[in-house]
Amino acid sequence: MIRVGYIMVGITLITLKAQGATEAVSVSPTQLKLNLDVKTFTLPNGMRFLLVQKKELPMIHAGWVAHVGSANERPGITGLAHLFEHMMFKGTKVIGTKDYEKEKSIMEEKENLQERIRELYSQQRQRYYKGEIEDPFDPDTYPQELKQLLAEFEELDKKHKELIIKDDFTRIYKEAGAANFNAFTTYDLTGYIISVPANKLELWFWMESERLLNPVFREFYTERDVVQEERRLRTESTPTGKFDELIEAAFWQSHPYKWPVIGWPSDLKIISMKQAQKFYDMYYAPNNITAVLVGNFDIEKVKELADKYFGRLKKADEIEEVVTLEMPQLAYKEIEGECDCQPQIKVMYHTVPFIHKDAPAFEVLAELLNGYTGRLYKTLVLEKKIASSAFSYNYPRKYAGSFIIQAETSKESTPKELYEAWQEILEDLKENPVSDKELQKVKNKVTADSFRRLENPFMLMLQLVYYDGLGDWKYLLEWGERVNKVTKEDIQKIVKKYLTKENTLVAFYYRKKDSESREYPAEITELPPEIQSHFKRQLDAIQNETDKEKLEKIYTSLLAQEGNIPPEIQKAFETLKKTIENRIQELENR
Amino acid sequence: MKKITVTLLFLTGGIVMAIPPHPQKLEFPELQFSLPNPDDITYTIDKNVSLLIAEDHSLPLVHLSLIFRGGSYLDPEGKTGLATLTAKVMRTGGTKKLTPEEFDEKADFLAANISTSVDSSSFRAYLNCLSSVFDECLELFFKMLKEPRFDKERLKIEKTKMIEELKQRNDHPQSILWREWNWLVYGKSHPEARQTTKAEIESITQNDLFEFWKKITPENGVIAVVGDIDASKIKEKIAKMISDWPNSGNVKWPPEEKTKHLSKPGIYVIEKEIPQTAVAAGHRTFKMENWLDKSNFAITVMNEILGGGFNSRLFTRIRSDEGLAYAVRSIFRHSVYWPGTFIAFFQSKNETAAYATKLLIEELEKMRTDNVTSKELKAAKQGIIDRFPQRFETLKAAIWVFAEDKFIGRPFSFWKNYRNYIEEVTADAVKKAANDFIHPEKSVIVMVGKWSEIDKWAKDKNIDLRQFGPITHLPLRDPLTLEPVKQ
Repeated sequence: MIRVGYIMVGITLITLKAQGATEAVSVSPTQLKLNLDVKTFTLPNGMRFLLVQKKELPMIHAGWVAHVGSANERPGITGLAHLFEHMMFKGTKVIGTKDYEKEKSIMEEKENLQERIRELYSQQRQRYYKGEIEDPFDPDTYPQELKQLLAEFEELDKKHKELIIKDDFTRIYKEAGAANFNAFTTYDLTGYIISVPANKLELWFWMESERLLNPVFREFYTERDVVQEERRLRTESTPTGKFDELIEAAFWQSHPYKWPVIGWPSDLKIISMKQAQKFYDMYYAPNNITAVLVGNFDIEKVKELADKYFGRLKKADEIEEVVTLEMPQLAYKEIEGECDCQPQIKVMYHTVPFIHKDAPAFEVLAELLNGYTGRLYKTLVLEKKIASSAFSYNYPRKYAGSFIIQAETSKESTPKELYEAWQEILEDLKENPVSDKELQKVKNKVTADSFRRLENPFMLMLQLVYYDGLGDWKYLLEWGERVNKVTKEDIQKIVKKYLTKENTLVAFYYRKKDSESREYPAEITELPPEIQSHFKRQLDAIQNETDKEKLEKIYTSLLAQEGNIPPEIQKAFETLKKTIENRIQELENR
Repeated sequence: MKKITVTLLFLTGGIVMAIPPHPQKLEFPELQFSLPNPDDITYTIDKNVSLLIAEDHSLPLVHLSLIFRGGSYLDPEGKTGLATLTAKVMRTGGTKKLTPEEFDEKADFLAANISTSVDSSSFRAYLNCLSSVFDECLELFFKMLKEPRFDKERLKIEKTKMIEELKQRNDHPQSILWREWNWLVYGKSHPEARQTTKAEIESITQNDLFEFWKKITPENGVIAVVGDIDASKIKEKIAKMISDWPNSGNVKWPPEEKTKHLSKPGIYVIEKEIPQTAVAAGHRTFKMENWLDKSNFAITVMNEILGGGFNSRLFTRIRSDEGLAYAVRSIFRHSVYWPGTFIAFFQSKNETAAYATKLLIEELEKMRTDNVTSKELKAAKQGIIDRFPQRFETLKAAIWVFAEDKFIGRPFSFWKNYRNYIEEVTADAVKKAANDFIHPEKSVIVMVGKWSEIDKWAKDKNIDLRQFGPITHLPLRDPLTLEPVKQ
């Protein structure tokens, strides 16, 4: 029997008012109803379901979130949560294989080899500690036995590959008319998403329960290398990317957020299948997973199928919690870096977790600063003319948060000037309450956005997956309302409390001598600054990527998103697509 | 208005089946999907504007999309780019009463998204806002359209941006490829092929913008509104906005080809120092006059098999089997104003560019001579039919399609019977479509790459590219002036 507990979150009232508007903009007070009916139920094994029924849709957008991210790791196994995201596409005992029994024996052989390889890596580390070698993972320093074992492993891997049907899992979905097949890992969560035609509901249940129930971590060890490449891509892809890990590590003192989601390279070389299995058994247990369905389905049918398919999963007795809290920062931190980039700054402040009561005030603060009529752009770009771009964002994670300011210099200005100008804005925010009109402008935008974000059914599913992963999916419904309650006093309070000097980390970036600035096409530079930098990062990342398969994957997932691209970024999206095509072609020709 | 309706027909009723060992064994209910009839929600208002209104009260938002006559086909001689610039500065340049800054503040305060654009044959504007402030937004939106200021400072900024854009014209081989291919098949003065220069943009004045703006008029345009609105009230409001439009439409319509351009088949090469060659091959097709002509659906199925789908022949032959290229595809671009085009496109290493071109032409020929297999035919049709509902996933998506239809004159029965027409396509019809609409011997083949390498490898592999037509070398052009660059 399925335990059913409906939560009806039908009505949230939001008032949009133009209080204190000094000019003739008569925005009449209106009661706005947020119509989103989310039904929930939980299976006896603890797996939760969130359902939004939309009978008019020909599709079902489906996803599930495992409440595990890099924050659940420990030194030694960093990168494991993300490695799983890759493993989950490798198939099962019946999918992706020509002969599972044969595969099994090869995988056992591989495991034995790896056992010995790990012992030799341990010896390599000893040599490193003694100062005999500079890099324990430099192949030139490998002893003969290690070289031989690695060669043997490669041979075995080739044999194994012959038994594998590549992308079989993806193919089955594709042939059934599915789109948007993808996954993502963050510090806090791992999400798996897809859209299927409404009549293929049972296929989703079959496929997803199958990969949770009978996963085969084939190509585990080769995938570690793929992930290594991805790490290089992320850190080397953008001019300031190599400093990102440094900044995070410097910013977080005690919290597991200090290591990158992608993991440290020395851990990725060593992680074993056994460690992976242990991690999987605990964090991919049904009582650590929430599934989300948005679209055209019958609720009773979903319950029946959920019980039938996911009911087979075994509950984990214990799921370890993240218990380490971030220590209060005691002193101002500063980093100076040189890169092939426009001189710029990144300012970070410790703030609050996602579910914290002060979080909405930070959303308002970010909006006050952003956009073409926001304070950062107006002051730094239009008035002082010292920045080419300037924006802020609120980045709350599950257990702690940060508030971030970024700006790039213009012509002869310096990063120090940018920081000083930001300090002026900050001082003003501390001393003078924002005007009613300015606050209302921001609230109006937040209110409109809180509805806009519910419009696209695929995005709705994605957000439910994401916010449940961060601790509370109801955020989606309450966001507009909570933000509308923020007062100017609240803004002043959080600015004074959190945006203090001893709570700050500032990174100043200077242009390395002899480096040229990169130019971007107009469809990118015309985007709003906060989206712009996202696209720039992606374009840079693609240019620097050397793994063709990885690019092809990105390309496929881009194609899958095609239908969901808002018109305002359509051109930029096309550019992104073309850049990938070109880059793949370039790599193919090497 | 009736909404999109979707029904699932379960064949197995309430019987609980065991979990099959493989998903192939699963049985799925039939997906029934029907569209609302746009005629039920289309009104004709003043100046023969078609107004589509669809109420959707699930969220307190309104979307408005406006399509008027007035695209870049109206760009005067020597001022190519004027239409684009007019649209850009209309949005950023303020109104008669509001400075650009005031306009931005006001739009932001109302949390409204407003944008404008043009293509070769139309002018477009878009508004999205909360329904509670829709009236104010509508006012602001139409002020922008009817009383633009075209602020000189903002015009300067937009001109600079456009010139910056031109500088990157030769950065991507594709942009060279399409520029040259369009010139060759359409002719340089054709609206689909025209290109601007730095000098032309610089010559554009505020007065030019005002003159162009006068040509953007509501006559025979389309306005579509979807969202949390009262259909009966909205009709009046919009009719009022239209009734006192400042300019009247004696604009030349429809867009037309000034002169009949005769493209010369053959191979055209533009030298660029790059490791991979970008190749486009194709020709003009026909002017779309009857959307319901069965041959249109045969073309769709034929192209799905040839180079449209995930398992298409071109994809399989050139990409998967031979590993010669990445993006391989073929498309039919239809137009109601002039003959459209058929294009097959790929990129391949300089070493294999000639060989891949040969394979491509072979596949085009094969499409004309051999019958498609029943398996191919079935899979192609199924793919098209399965993907069909995605185009109309939400009411908004459907209304946007219907608005486009209204503007170009595509009848609703096209979509209503789309899946049936696709289902009816036979192997013979596919072959006939290939024979009627694909002409390898008439193709203009443009290659952008390193000719010395392409040629060397072609000779090594005994491929004579001249069998596909005479080879002409074209110069690379300066991105700002479009004058040939001396090499």
